[in-house]
Amino acid sequence: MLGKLLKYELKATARYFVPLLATFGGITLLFKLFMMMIGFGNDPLRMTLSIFIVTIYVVAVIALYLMCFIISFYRFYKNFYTDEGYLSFTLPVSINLQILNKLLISIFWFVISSVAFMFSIFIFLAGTPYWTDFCHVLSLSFQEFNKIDPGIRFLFITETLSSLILSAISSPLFVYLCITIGGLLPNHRLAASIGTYFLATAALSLVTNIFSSIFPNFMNFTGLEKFCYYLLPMMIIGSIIEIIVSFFLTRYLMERKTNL
Amino acid sequence: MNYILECNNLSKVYSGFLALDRLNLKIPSGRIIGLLGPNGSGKSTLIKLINGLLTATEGDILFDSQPLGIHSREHISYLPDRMYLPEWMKIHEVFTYFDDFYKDFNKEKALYMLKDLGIDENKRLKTLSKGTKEKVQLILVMSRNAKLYLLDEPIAGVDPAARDYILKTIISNYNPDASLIISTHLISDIETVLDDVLFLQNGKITLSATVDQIREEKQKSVDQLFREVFKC
Amino acid sequence: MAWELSDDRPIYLQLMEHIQGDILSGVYPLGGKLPSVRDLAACASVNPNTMQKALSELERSGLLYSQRTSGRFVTEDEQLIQSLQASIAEKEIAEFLKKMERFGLKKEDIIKLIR
Repeated sequence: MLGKLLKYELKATARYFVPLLATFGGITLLFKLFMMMIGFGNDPLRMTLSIFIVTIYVVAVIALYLMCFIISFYRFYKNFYTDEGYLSFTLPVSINLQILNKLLISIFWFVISSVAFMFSIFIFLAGTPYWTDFCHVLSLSFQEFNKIDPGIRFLFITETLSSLILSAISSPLFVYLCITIGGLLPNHRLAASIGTYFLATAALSLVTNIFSSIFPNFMNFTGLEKFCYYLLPMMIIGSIIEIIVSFFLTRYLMERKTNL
Repeated sequence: MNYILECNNLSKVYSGFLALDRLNLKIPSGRIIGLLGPNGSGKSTLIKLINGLLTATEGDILFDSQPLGIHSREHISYLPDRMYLPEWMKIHEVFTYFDDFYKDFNKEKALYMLKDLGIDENKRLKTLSKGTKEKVQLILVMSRNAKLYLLDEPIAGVDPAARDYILKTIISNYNPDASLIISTHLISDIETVLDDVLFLQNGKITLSATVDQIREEKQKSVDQLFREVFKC
Repeated sequence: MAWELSDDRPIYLQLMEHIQGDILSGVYPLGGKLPSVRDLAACASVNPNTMQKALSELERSGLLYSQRTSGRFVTEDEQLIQSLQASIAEKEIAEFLKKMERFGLKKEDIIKLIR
């Protein structure tokens, strides 16, 4: 059943993401072409144009990630808390699978968008004078990184990776929880969901601030070692708690408190 | 006796309003039942509770002697009182969707009925008129070989010719071991199709009888009786 | 075409009368097979259970008989049909005479008129 759910969710989301990614690719190519046409140099006109293009490009990247978030939000809301909920909630599929389905597709598009982003950076830089600078900076960083104690290095890599993966899981789940809470209302569910999201995000950052003021060690960025011992593990534990609470509370509310 | 559906002491309160009031109901297999009542009497609330779209304030529902869950969703074919299909899909895509998720869905039958009603399967739902969408939904629901059909106002929006076709579809497609509950306030159109009628008034069942019992005892049709009982 | 059914009487009685009429007038010949309950119900636009009840009642009166595997048939008993026709005729004539009496017509006058 999960396979079938994934198939239809992929189809439904591709309607938004294919044009979105195509537009993003188009913008990348267009700017690249433009940059090549104006050429590179230090005169004010070229500098201004370059800054202008890079600014628009950064906006496009932010828009891409924002759309990932908005589409993920909208799909869950539309599928369960509008008239389509009459279909979704009466399918012979467990709520577990329904949530997992939405989550996996959200992560999938997030990964695809990130790949597209990295690819577009590569296209932007390749063949320009900046390419050598970029490679130089990268190799320097690697050299620096290799000087660090292998134990800490390993810890840093595994912790960073897990933290990234866990937050890719926890953020959609957190969004789903907010929508489900908003969906408890008889009317104005969309507004309530968005409101819940902003309130809950504010509450979370407040908790984080209080926590870091009580335990200043966690906000100590002097050296990779401290980072690996305090902040990263804390972020990982925080994500795990967020995942567990979001998932089980969402499931409970959808199974036991639905009122469409 | 085995009942396909049992509601025990079922109550539902909506923001202070008592929509269902300690309702008790037992539905045997093989019956076509009219759930009749004016607007706001609790018909849709009852049907939505049975589909798990609402959570009961009190009481419980058993389907096939089990609490609601995947089993009940596998065997209940539900027609809501609104458009509930993803609008961006084409008709044949929705058919495949039902075929994928419901083991009891008969796609050939659905395609046959679609052709009978002269609807093009390559059309997108978005582009269809309200009446045509209702027909597509009814075809989907009636093409399942379910144990219980719950049709919420199935004939409200369609023209009389289509209404006749729909009633014939219901009669000739439904499995005699299954039960079918139709909620409506347009009684005269469906009266001859029903075995039993339930009158729902202010969240309570005020009358439960067979159509011929009512005609025999009161010498009037269910429609006439309904008009008297729910006179304004 | 749905069958004409009136509002004030039980549906199964009206279905019985309708099928009985079809048998007496030869729509369904003696010994002939009847359509299935489902088809008859769909044809009349009525509930299959109600149609089933009407057919069972007709079976009890002997007008129909069912064979376990092959379905329902019209009786081959011609006498039964004739006696049924006679009893219906008797009833209808009695009613007719009563009505005519209201208009001052006697039996003899009516016979003269029919001739």
